[in-house]
Amino acid sequence: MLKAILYKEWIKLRWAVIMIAGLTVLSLAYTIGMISYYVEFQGAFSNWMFVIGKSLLLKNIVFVKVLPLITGLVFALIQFVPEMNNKRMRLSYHLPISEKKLLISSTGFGYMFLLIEIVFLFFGLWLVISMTYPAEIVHKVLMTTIPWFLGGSAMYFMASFIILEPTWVYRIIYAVAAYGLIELNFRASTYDQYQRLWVLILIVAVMPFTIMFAGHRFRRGSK
Amino acid sequence: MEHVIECKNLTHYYGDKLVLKDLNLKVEKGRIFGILGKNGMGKTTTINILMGFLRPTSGQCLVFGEESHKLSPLTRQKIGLLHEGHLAYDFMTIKQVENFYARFFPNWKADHYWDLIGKLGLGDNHKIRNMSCGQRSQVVLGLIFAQDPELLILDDYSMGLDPGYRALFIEYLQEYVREKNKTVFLTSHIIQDVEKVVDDTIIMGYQKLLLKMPLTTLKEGFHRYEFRNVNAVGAIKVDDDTITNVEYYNDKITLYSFKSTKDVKNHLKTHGITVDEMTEIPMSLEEAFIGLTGKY
Amino acid sequence: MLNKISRYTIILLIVVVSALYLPDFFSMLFDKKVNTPRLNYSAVIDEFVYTQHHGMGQTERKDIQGNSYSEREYYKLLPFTYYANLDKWGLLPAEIDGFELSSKSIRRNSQFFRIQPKDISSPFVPLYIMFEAEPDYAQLIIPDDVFRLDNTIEFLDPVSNSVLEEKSHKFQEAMLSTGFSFPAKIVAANQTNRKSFDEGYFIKDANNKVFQLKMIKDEPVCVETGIDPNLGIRQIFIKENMRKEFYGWLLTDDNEVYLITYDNYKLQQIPTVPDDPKYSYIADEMTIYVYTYPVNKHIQISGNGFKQMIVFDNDFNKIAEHVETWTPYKKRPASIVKSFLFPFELSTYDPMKWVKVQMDCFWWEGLAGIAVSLLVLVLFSRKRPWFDYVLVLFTGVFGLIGVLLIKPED
Repeated sequence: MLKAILYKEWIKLRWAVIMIAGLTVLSLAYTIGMISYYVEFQGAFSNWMFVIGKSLLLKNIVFVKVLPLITGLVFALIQFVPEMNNKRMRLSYHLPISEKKLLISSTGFGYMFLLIEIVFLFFGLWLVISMTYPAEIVHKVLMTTIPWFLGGSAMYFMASFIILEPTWVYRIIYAVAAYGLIELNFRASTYDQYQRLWVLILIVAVMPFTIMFAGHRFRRGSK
Repeated sequence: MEHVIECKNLTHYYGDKLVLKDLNLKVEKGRIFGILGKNGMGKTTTINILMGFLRPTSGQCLVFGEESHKLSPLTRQKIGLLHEGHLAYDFMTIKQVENFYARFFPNWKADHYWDLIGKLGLGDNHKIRNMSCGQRSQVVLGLIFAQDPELLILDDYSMGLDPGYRALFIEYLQEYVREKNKTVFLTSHIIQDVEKVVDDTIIMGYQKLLLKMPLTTLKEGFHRYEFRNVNAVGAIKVDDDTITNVEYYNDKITLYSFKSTKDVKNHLKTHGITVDEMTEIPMSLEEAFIGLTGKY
Repeated sequence: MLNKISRYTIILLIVVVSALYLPDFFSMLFDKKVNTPRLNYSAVIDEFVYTQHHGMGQTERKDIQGNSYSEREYYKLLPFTYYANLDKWGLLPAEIDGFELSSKSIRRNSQFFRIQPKDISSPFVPLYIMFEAEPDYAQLIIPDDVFRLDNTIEFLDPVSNSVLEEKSHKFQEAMLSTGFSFPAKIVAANQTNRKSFDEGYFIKDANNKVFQLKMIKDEPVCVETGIDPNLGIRQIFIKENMRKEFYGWLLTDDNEVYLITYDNYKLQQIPTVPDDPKYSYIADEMTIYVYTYPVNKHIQISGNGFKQMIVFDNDFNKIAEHVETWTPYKKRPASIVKSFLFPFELSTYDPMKWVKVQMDCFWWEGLAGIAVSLLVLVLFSRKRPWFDYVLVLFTGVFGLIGVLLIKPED
């Protein structure tokens, strides 16, 4: 039965997954292009000075920062808006499968693709940066991406949660909270600026638990 | 006999507004049960509670002995739901949706589905969102039949359907249900259809149950009387016993009652209204329904 | 059960967001700017002087005896600070304490630097550049390689992104032969070419010994400084100055600051914490200004609520000291109200420019706020699950907002 739920989610997600996969590759290509451009334009040594002293690479990898956020939002919209339209979620809640399994597998499946994208971006970036820059820079850049990936994950879970909530008043409350929590991951202005990453990881790790409440409120017909 | 559905003292408020009051009903296995009533009388509320999408303010609804808001997945397997508006997964195709649902029901009878779908003349890859209301209703019905549930709950099956599809729906339902001794619980406001299919009825009025009886009883036991009396205009009161409803048009008075002509005339006399000539006008079931629930 | 956990998860997330934004918002609305005095020491009258702004361009100029001065009079008291204007007005005195005054001689004999929290620890990329310390040209030349210094020293060529084996080996040998033990723990230098000469790198090795490493005519020159390895050096900061009195400063684990002098790397300690224990703040939150003038040195320690200035003569003998105080941030009305309203606040602000989530608790005052929140919950809300009360007990108004917004579903 779980496979059926995944089948349903896949039907919804497949085009988005393909598009996002394309965007992922494009983002890495853009990064390669930008790096070559700057190296060519500035000269290798001068470029390294800008990269080290002025965090230039943060500009070059801007799509890596933004893509997980976009992906999280798009997947959540594609998966759950069709389900909530005209209370269509009732169809799913009536299926002979527990509400818990239903929601966990749906969101788990969507998140899995986001996670694949994140892993791909991470290792892709590793490769790309290593081609031109030494280990110290590679390490700093990769550490910088971790809060961004957490932010993208937070976006997916919060967006899913907001869409699955039946009333607009609560949605707005959740949206305000979500903004604050997601923004928390984007406060760096230079490489590897975060300390106590475990706090952010903890916050994102508990987010999936919020979804059950939305389902419960839907089932009760709560206002 | 164990009841498939049982509601006890079901009461529900939307905020301060009372919508259901002490509703009691029992549905036996193998029967077709209908809730009729005008929109806004609590039909939808009742069915939402029954389907487990609304928690009642007080009272209880049991389906197969389990509380309706806490039905176990195994029990849900035995219930086929038709949601208002013939809800379906729009993004799926005819083939995908069958494929999807089949995996949830061990006794899936695919040919029931494909029989119905065959009559639509659409391709397997036709998306549900590209279908008309009528075509979609076929899909939904096909899915329910293929599920082979013990209980069918159909919420306003006629919504958005033109008479052709409506008739088709009723026809299939009748055949299917009779053949297999299924229990059906449906809501509607199209009396003529319901008349053909339903065994027991509840007619809902404002905050109270109006009738709980087989429709044949309504048809045979409910009367419409007309007479003219200028003085009586505005003077007749509705009560639980004799006068179910009254309408005025100039000096023509129309009365609705379960009592005989004689009883009604006597009742009026005790209230100071003498009636010489009172004629009974026969009604169709629909007219009886309107007479019972009022035009507005 | 899962639904209850789910609800509390949402409420906790709301608590976190509220604690991150509400206290901040409150500060933004109600904090008032406090004008703090600018302290100085006049070698002319041998007395501390200060200016104090009072909004609307009103400025007080006084000495600590209480005498007021006009702008020009004040400038005349501080020739080392205002020599440019005084020179223009023809008011520069001829000499002070035997030192001949002219704009040029003052500039030549003055030096300023600042020690602030972000100098101690800050995000950075551990790749460095080695200048030619004695170039043929008038200016320092920017090299075309960078080096890393951890378990070894390796020079890297940006064009090929590979190690320059020969140069790396040369430097490695030079360091080892001087007794340097890898890995390096601290690597400090002034990494800019906008200076007239270069003193290279001061490096703390694995055994806590400090070495100076320079490149002279393309050859490595490594010298053991002899600075006491047992000091517990936490950070070193280098800033060249043509006066050649100090290389820079170092900070120890005990929050002591020493200037590294050119006199064979001898250390000169400077005060970092005011003597009065009333003002003992941690070094991480203060800023130390070191002003060197032709005839004396001022060291100013600025913290939240106080400024202490200590004046030394050129041999580091203490001449005078003075403290100005004002209500520190935490004791101002807006702050006090804030600590009653909110039992704690979360923020990512850090003076060392890291981004880390920190919690600041307002103990006793916060408890009062918690009590009020609990009271509100009990009075204005119908019966609630016991955990709602526990939550508000621990998180005060933040929890209250959460439990009121997200109602329990039976």
